[in-house]
Amino acid sequence: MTMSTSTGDACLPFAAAQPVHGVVAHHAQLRFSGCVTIRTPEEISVWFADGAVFFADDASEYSVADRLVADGILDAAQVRRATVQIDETRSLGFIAHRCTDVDVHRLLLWAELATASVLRASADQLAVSVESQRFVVHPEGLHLWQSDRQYVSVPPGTPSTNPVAGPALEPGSPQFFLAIDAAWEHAAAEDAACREPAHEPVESVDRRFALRSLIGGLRTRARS
Amino acid sequence: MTLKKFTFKVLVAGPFAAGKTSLIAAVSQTPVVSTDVATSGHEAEVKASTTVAMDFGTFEWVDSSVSVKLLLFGGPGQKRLSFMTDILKTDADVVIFVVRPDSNVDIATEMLSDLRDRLNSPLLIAVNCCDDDAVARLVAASIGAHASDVAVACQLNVHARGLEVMAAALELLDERIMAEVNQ
Repeated sequence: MTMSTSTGDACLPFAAAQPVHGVVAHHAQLRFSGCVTIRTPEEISVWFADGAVFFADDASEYSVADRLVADGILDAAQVRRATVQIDETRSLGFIAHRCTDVDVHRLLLWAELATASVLRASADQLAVSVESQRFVVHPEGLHLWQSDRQYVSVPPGTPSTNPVAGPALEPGSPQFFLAIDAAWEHAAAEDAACREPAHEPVESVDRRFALRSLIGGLRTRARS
Repeated sequence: MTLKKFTFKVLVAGPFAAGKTSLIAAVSQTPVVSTDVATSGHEAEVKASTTVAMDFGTFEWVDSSVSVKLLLFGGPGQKRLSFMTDILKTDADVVIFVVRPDSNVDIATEMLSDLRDRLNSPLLIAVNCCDDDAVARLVAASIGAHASDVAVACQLNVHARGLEVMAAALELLDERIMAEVNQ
């Protein structure tokens, strides 16, 4: 069984206070894969794959599963079938793999809207602390969390000296949301790629089968 | 049950009078569409007509679940018409270079070198009028074939041998697909 990592560079600590959009841009530049928890002091979590944001969530009193049910994306039975729980850790990752009757497009649109809503609401707020946790992406779709958690407290008001972060996009500007859209599309493509099973693509299998059949046909003709 | 349909394109190249049209004619189930014209000058001493644009034939194989069509393209053997081979090779799945032990070595070497330039498809060297694979490999080496190139001896005036050469070329394509999948 092979395993590929998609962790990007090591997460560099911030030397200065940043607004949330600066933190997001910083991790995007690092091609970070994992979860970044930002306190403003409200807490939001932003998930990245190779630097692209694929989900963001705030510390709502309702869980993602509850909101999916409340918004009519999943019913309670689907949530039960889709949820993987070990002790107190509950995962809804790869719902469509475990629950094939989910409307994947509605689910993706819901996640996209939720992500945009969270980032839009928090983009220009100053990050008080940033906690980054990297993960590796397994070809079969398992995300194994790495143990090297990094926690950085950022004193509010510290001037920005972070050399890695590029020019921050104006929160709420068209460029800001275009960047989020692009990041979402990139993450969706990455996600689809990592879901591919670790064996020959179907097209190659079919093509080889056809080729083998043809070779057999030619040899049969040659013998006759 | 709907048959899955697949098409593979084979280019047959090689010097003048090596046996390219014979190979296509041996495999094709449809009358070969030929662009032969009468030869003139010293070429007329070797053969009465020659391919100026391309030969085209087809072979179709249907089994229980797939329908596979082979499109066979033959390029002209003269240097002055080599641009046709350059066009034909761009999307060929596999290329067969036909040569004879008595083909002009300089011309065959140049043609093989030109053919290999920007060629992404597997290449089989078919040495016509030859019965010994060891001799075929020597002939191939004499015209600049790489050590890794596959060379086979054949008699393309025998129908069955043409089919076997085609099968051998498609085996190379199968290996290429396998290698790409495993990368």
